[in-house]
Amino acid sequence: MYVTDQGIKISLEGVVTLEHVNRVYKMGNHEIHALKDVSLSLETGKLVVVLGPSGSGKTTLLNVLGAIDKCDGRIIVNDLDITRLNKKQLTKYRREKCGFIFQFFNLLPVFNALENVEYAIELASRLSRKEVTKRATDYLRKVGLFEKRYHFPSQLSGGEQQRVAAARAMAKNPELLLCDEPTGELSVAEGKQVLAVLQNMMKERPDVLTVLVTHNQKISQIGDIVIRLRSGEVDSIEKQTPIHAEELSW
Amino acid sequence: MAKTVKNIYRAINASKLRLFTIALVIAIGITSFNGMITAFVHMTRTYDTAFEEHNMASFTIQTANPGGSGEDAWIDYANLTNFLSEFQKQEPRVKAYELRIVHSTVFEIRGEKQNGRIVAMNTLDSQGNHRDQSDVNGYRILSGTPFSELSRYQNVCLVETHLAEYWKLEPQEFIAIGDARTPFEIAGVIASPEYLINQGEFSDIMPSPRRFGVVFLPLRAAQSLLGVQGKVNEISVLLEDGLSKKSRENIADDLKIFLETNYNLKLSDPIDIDNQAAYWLLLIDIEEAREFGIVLPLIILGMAIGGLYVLFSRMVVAERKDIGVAQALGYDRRTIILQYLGISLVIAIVGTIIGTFLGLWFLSYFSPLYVDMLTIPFDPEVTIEWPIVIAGIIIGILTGLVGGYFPVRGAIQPLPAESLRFDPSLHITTGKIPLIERVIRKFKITPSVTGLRLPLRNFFRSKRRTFSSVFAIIVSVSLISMAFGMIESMDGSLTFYYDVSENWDLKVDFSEIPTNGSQIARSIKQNVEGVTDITYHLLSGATVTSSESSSSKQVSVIGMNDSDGYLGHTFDFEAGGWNADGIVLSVPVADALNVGLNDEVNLELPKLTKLVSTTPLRAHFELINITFQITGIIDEFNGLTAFVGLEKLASVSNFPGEPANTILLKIEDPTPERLDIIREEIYEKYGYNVRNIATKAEQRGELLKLMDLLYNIIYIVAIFAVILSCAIIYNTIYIGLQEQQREIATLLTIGTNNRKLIRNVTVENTIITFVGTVLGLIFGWILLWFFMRVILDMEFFRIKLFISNNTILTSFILTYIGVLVTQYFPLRKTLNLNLAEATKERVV
Repeated sequence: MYVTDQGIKISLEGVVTLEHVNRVYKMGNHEIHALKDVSLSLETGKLVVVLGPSGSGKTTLLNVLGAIDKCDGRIIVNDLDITRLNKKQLTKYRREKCGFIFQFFNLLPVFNALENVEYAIELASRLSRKEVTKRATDYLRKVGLFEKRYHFPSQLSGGEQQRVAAARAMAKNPELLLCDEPTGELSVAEGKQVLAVLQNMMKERPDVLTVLVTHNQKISQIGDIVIRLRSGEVDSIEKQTPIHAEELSW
Repeated sequence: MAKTVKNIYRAINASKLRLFTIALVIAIGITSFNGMITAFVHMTRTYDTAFEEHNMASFTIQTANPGGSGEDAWIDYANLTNFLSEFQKQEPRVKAYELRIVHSTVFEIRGEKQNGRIVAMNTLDSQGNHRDQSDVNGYRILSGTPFSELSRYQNVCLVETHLAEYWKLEPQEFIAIGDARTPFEIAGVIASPEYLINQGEFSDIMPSPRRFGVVFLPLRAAQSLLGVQGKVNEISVLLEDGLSKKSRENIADDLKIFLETNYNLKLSDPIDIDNQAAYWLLLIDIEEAREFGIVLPLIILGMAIGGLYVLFSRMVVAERKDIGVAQALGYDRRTIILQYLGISLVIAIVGTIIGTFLGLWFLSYFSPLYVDMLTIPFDPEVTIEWPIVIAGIIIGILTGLVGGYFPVRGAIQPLPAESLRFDPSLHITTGKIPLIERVIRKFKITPSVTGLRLPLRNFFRSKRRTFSSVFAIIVSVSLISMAFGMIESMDGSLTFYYDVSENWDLKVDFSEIPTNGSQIARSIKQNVEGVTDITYHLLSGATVTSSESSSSKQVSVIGMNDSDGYLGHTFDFEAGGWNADGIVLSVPVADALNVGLNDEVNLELPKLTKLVSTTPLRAHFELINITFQITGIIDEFNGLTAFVGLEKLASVSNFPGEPANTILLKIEDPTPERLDIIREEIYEKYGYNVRNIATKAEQRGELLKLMDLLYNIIYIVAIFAVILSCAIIYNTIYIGLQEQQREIATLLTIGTNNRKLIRNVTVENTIITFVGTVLGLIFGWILLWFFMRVILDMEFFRIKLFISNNTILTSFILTYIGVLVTQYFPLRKTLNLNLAEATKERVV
């Protein structure tokens, strides 16, 4: 239950809300408004694609949602006002509620695929070692990498690494899946594969809100909602019927 | 060029602290280089100046029996002056000569007896005018006055400073000299280049002013004292400068033959300046200082080069992508190399400047300390040695350039595209499960992914990274364990020597040899309460020669009385055992002669030819060679010793009765108070011929004072080691974290808390410290061996080398504390990473 400044209790379960979110970077004497008074309300179970050119603030939006960047205003994720959390609580929030898929995969090179997924699960849950391994294996099977679960990142292609990253993000049962240009470093075929994996996993997890940041207009077709940003401001919000990633062409 | 300078400035500014610590490593190397080598130069110059200004004799020739009383003991002064003037005419290289009396005798100072030497010089020159300085072997007045015109008619003396300092003697005080205890007034305290080191004999491995002191007398007073009016027993000759040892020896031999042939004099063999006991010890000190002064800075600078190489190697790996960008932007290789070399050059210059100034400060402290600790009574002239300073600057800058150039050259070899696609974190990852993990998995031990597995994998992620991480620890542990190992090896050897080998509580030294050793021992045991065991020995210096080869060694020969079952000495046999008919040699003597068990050696011993008195023993001697079979080889602290049976020694030397000059006592409940009481009792009852009664603690204290210099150098090494290690460890940890920045950011982003991250880094650094400690101890042992056996090869002290568990633990703990402290700063920076930026670092 979320309590407003006026003391009114409202339930924001299943909703991610941004209220007057601002993010200003100081670059020497200049100020850059990466986000300007952004207010949004997003329902879980949806795939939200944030679209915009470079410098539009889309990655900043993702960062503040994932609590790896600070901002003014409020961000409420399922009743939790993350802008009021201290450093320790933010870490817990990221650990338990957020799944991250980075543009550059960011797998731990010293761990193989299975271990990378296990790490995230072990961190976020209190499962036994056996259960952790079982769940990690299941997720790797889901992303089609069961056979390569003992491969290290250096032995995997970019697409495979990103699929491991997807498994790592989803295996810990997050409420929020944040994808920052997940196909940016991949070939078209690999990109489609990764997006398909994401769509498939989302089907199994209707309680997860997925936010995918891209500058590729074509990719926005897979989203339930497309938010366009321009110079840190919300330019438009469109609802649409998504198409399956396999049908994409770019 | 301006851009390159700007880039260098930016790069340095971004990592000020880290680069400063590298500069510190160079600074330590240059400090030790400047400080130690200059101190060595100062010390050598102090000696040289002292020798030159005071005309130290090139060689001396004594009469055939200088301590005796027969015809071969003394020569007429006036005749000898004429003979030498004759010789000087045919040998113009003789610059000056001095005819002296040099005689061993006893002093009584403040009611206590002690052995010493009188050196007497003529206070008149060849024209009969008064002079206060001799032509050869002069001295410097430190306090009081030199001999006056009246001195030749008075009983006045000049006391050598080591003796004066020991007894706190001042001018106008009196000391008694000789058997008749003739009082002499102290006119002044002097320093003599002849006795820069207070050593009288080669066999005295622990020269102490309590056992040996020098007093200068006017020749006439000495002649009266000894009853040898108009006589002398030594010729000291000063030759012109720059003559080789061979030339000096030839002239000395010519002089001896000239005097023996033409004037029928009986003389001993000449003693060249190099073979004079004090000078010999001095040369050993200089050589040790020189080797230490060169080798230690070289080791530190070598480690600085190694540290720089490792750090730059990892720095260019971490920045390889930037190098690729620079190349892609059109920077040529030269510019990029220049940029990195610029950084290393600035580091080297900063380090060199700090090191040079620290070195200058260090030597202003170290040079006088060095001279003082060796009890050299001449103040060193502390000056800046520009050639050494310049050499230090060149070495410091070269260290930086060499350490920086090769890694950078390697980093610019690939094409820009390859560098742009380069991922440092993958580069430092082999992508394998380390062997140790595979082994422990066999035992069903699987470290958790969020627990030990990550730091374990990080440690083994690449050989180069592992090596460079461990390198810092190796440097630290090896230097610390070497320094502490040196101290405890010496302490351990000393402790063993005094607690086990020297199995006595009180040692009584006699001024002159009584020939009734057993009678005195029996009497002391019967009359002094608390004496549980007693024995007597005859200690003398001798030359031992291998029967097989011509190699020889000056040693202390101890004739041991073994008839009472108590030897006063517990042997630590490396081979063989005690046999009263054979000889037991110490390891260094056996090694020097290249002999082993059951081999034969010859001892050159004095054989009594004419007995003058028995108690104390006064007689005429000649040197004879006696063959002994080696029955045992001992490994103990006192390195230049040989033990033989007293009975056999007395028999071959033709000594009457039971000669002894040392009595060893074992005391029941030997508390210091009790030992003092017994000492007083012995002085009272038997003190007429007692030179000194020492406890083990006192003897040990004297030895420790002698080793002050070495201990101080080692402490300095230990301090350098700790600073050096912290600097290298800080850099290694910093770069280690920098390399993993994106990984750490990812870990933090996906929810790893700070505590867990710190724990992971700490566990990884703990593994590094453990592995580094093991290797560091091996290197520490090698360095310890190198310094103690190669550099400080002091054959008169046989030091058993060991590194104790305490040192192992201390090295590990000190290094580990260094690791924990130094990891704090880069970790703090890492924990405040901008996650948004750090996770977006580009990968393949």
